[in-house]
Amino acid sequence: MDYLYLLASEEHILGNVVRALLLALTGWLAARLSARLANRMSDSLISTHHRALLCKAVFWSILLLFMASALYQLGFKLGLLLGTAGIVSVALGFAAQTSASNLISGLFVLSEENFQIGDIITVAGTTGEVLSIDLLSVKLRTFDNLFVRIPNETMIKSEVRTLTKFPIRRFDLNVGIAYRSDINLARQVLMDVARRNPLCLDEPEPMVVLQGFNNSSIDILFAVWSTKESFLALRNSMQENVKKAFDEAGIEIPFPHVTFYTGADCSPLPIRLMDKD
Amino acid sequence: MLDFTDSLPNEDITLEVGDCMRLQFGQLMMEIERQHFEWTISHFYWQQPVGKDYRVYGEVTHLRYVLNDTDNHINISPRLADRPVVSRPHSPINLMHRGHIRVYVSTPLSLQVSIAGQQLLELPSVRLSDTWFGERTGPGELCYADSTRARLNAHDLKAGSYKVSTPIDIRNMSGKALRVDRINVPLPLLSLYRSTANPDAYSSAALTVTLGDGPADTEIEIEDFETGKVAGKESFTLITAARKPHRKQLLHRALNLFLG
Repeated sequence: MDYLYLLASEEHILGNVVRALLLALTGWLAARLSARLANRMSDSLISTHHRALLCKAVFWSILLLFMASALYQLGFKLGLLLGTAGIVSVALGFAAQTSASNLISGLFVLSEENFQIGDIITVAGTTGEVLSIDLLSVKLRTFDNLFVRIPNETMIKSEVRTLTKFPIRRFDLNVGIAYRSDINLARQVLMDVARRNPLCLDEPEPMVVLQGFNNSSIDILFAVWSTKESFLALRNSMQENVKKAFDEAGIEIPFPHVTFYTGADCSPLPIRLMDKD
Repeated sequence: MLDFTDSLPNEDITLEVGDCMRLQFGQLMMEIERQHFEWTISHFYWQQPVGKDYRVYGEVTHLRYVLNDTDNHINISPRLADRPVVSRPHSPINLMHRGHIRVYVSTPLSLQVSIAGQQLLELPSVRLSDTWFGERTGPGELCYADSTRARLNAHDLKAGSYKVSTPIDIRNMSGKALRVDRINVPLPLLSLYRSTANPDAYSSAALTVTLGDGPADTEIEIEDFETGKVAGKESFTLITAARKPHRKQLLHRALNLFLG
């Protein structure tokens, strides 16, 4: 009799385990399918960033529901489980402060929406394309094709520059001209360079600002605008165009000169002509 | 060798294997050659520096299109630019209170090349520079920049056949004078027409802009011509419909951007 009871009990436990496993498996499949469906349905409605968030929310919500049901099948009481989870989370909070900090920072990073997947950002000296924005970290791909993981705590504490937030960008070129060069001519040449460069936007208008008188040059800021897509091409072409245009117009770009001081008497250095023969 | 200068064929062109055609349209020079299962299109742009009597030629771009279809027909048709054009009158216009003017703004056309119903490429007849149109550097729209004489009489237009004129009625119903120093022509919202009397003369749909004291009194309307129907003194035939439908939101956006 005891044997039969034990057998029935074992079968009951086994049945529960199988049911729980089935629930977990179904939940995982249902969560994946629902996330995919949400991704497909929201394709043209929301941004990539929001779509990724929606998919994660759908996936984890469904999976958690099924996991809770699976645990219930195994005989766990959910109320007790939640209470235990509270205690465990406090213990974990002390043990894994960094992860917890990243997790909370991640919520702020996600809610602030300073950048989206696909944007180019600079953070803590690293510039790259945002591949994903997760709860613990932001993943970047740098221009030299390196994968960089930046913890969300760093994202919150550091200055984050989004280079592709706005459709147009300004390129500032600092250039110096010699004191004997004509400032008006230099201004005219720079404006002409901007007008001839097809990547340079007509508006906002290019700007030439005199920055000041330096040790060996008159410093000029030449600011031109381009679309964010053609910014790099504009930066390259503009520097080349300015150098060529200055050369053609006879405007000198000065560079530092070195003078030898030969001592208190300052007598000239002796020069000896050497004959090859 | 077929040769077209500032004039487009009204029908499809037939090119046999080994045949070649050359086309000059505005600043665009294009050469199309048919090979076995392949079309080769080479193009470049020329420019005339201000005050100089010579041309500067740009780099030649060679493109090859391989098709299974051996159709020997090629279609070259005009289209309006794919982005709005911000046109600056050579001198600003001051429109007084309750004043009404009709200005004609001409903008360069684009060319669409298609073979066997497939669009191969679209090229502008003049390479215009880009400009940003908006109050600030954040919200706004990327447009092409051009200058216009904003003529008040259609007959004064010296537009070449590579240009299209857009009639724009501006009504100033606000309580103050309006200074018009740039006009954003929302070309993607407009249809393109050809004059039945002169096949080399093009017009887009007409725009009517009424500017009041507040946003509620301000509106923009697009007037499409009916094919064969006389509009003004001319009769027009529809060539291509607008790239974007006249949705209310787009019209509102066009109005916001119309005068900056």
